[in-house]
Amino acid sequence: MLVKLMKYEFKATARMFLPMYLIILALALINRLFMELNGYSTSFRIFPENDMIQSILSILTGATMTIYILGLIAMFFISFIIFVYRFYKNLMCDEGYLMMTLPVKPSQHIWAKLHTSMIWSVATILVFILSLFILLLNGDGIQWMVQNLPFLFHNLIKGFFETELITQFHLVFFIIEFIVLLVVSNYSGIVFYYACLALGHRLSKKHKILYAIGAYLVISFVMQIVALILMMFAGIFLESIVLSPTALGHLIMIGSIILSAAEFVLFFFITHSTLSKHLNLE
Amino acid sequence: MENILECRGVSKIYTQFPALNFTNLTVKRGRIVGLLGPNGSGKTTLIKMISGILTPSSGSISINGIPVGAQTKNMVSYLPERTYLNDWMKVRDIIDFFSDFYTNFNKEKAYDMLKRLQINDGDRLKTMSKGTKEKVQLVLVMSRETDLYLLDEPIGGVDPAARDYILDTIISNYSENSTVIISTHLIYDIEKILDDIIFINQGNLFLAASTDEIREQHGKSIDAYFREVFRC
Amino acid sequence: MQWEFRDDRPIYTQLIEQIQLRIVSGMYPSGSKLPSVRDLASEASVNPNTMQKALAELERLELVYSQRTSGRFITENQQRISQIKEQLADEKTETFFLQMQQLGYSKSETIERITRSN
Repeated sequence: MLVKLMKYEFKATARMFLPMYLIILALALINRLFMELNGYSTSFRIFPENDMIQSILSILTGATMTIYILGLIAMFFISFIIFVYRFYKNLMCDEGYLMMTLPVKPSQHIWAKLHTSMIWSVATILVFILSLFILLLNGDGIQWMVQNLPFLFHNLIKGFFETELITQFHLVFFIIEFIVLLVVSNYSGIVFYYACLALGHRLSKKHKILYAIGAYLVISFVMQIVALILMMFAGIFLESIVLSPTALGHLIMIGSIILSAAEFVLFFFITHSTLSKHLNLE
Repeated sequence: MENILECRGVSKIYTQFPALNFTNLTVKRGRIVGLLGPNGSGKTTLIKMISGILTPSSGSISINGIPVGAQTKNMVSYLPERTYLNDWMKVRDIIDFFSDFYTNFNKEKAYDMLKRLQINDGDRLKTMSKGTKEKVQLVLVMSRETDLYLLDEPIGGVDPAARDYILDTIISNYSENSTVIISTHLIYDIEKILDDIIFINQGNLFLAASTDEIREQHGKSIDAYFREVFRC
Repeated sequence: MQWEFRDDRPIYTQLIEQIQLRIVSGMYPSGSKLPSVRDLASEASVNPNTMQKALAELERLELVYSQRTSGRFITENQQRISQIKEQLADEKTETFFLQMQQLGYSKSETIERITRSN
């Protein structure tokens, strides 16, 4: 069931993401075009003697670059809006009559949307990187990469195996902790917004969005205070014992992971209980 | 299991406003039941609770002896009053969707009904009129071969030809294993096909009896009896 | 013949009467096969359970019999059909005389009108 739900999630959201991705890549391409007209990879310049053409070109180049950068910012922002909007529209509005009568548990609905959002997040980042390649990568760059990257990589691996075993362990663990933290905090970040929508839905009949925003502000505020208090306690605790920098590092990472995980559990619970016991579709 | 639906002590209270306050109600298998009552009497509230999208404040509802949940949602086919289909799908997409999630969805039946209603499966839901969308929803609901059908105002705001088609579909879809509960305030048009009647007023169960009993006892149509009882 | 129902009486009693009419008038010939319950109900726009109830009663009245796999058939017992026909005719005559009485005509006056108009 979860896979089926995700399949339909992708179908529904691809209509919004794919055009956006294409636009960004197209913008990168157009920018690259203008850059080449300004002699980026080659020394080619159109009508170098003609000042007017050159100045028009400069203006256009600047304009397209600005549009591209704004586009990138918009892409990340819009991605986020799509995740949140989709949850609301599909489960808490008219479509809810269809979705919530499916023989599916509410938790499966939430997971389907979380996983899908996560995958689109990664896709958005990949598109961003791809657009940078389109924008910047040329023959010189490729040549540099082919010449230097294997060497750098080799040095990195060699350096890694030349350190002590202990250091190797620490490095590997740090990398794992980092990835886990990234994933967990991403999930908890998204489910936080779902929980705000859920609270808005529960607390008010006519002003659900308003209350959701209110919930967002209140919970954000409380979370920051809690974080501050935890840091104070952590600071006090850590002053009384002596720790090596690596141990401290691990402690911070694992602490952060636990905190994110706790947030995830709390917000998932709020969302789940709203969908299963306090749903009131109009 | 003879009782397809059992409600015990069910109530729904919205911040001091009791929308529904029942004692007990059982509905048998193989019946066509009318859920009748004035607007705002609690009909839709009850139906939403049976279909699982609203939780009772107290009491329990079970279908085939199983409490309302993911499992019972497979046994219930619900037609809400509003259009709930998303816009971006084509008719064949929503049919595939239903077919994917419900094991008891009969695709051939659905296509057959669509053909008779002259609805093209390649049409986008977005481009359809409200009436056509409602027909598609009816097709989807009636193409499921399941135990309990909940139809909320299926003939309200529909032209007479479509109304006849809907009633005819309900009759020809009849099976001794399933029950259809039709909630409506247009009693006159459907009372001929009803086995049993459930009257709700102001959230309370007023009467649950068979159509024949009411006609025999009171010597008038259900519609006339209803008007008499709920005279303003 | 159209299926016509009044609201103030149970449907199944009206179904029994109307099917009887169809049998004695020959619209459902004796020995012929009846459509399925579902099809009949659909034709009359009534609940299949109600139609089933009516047919069960007609079976009891021996106007209709069912063969397990083949379905329901009108009785071949012409005598029984005639009996019902007589019964219905009597009822209709009674009703007619009653209605004429309401207009103020006695039984003999009514009979005279009929012979005259013929």
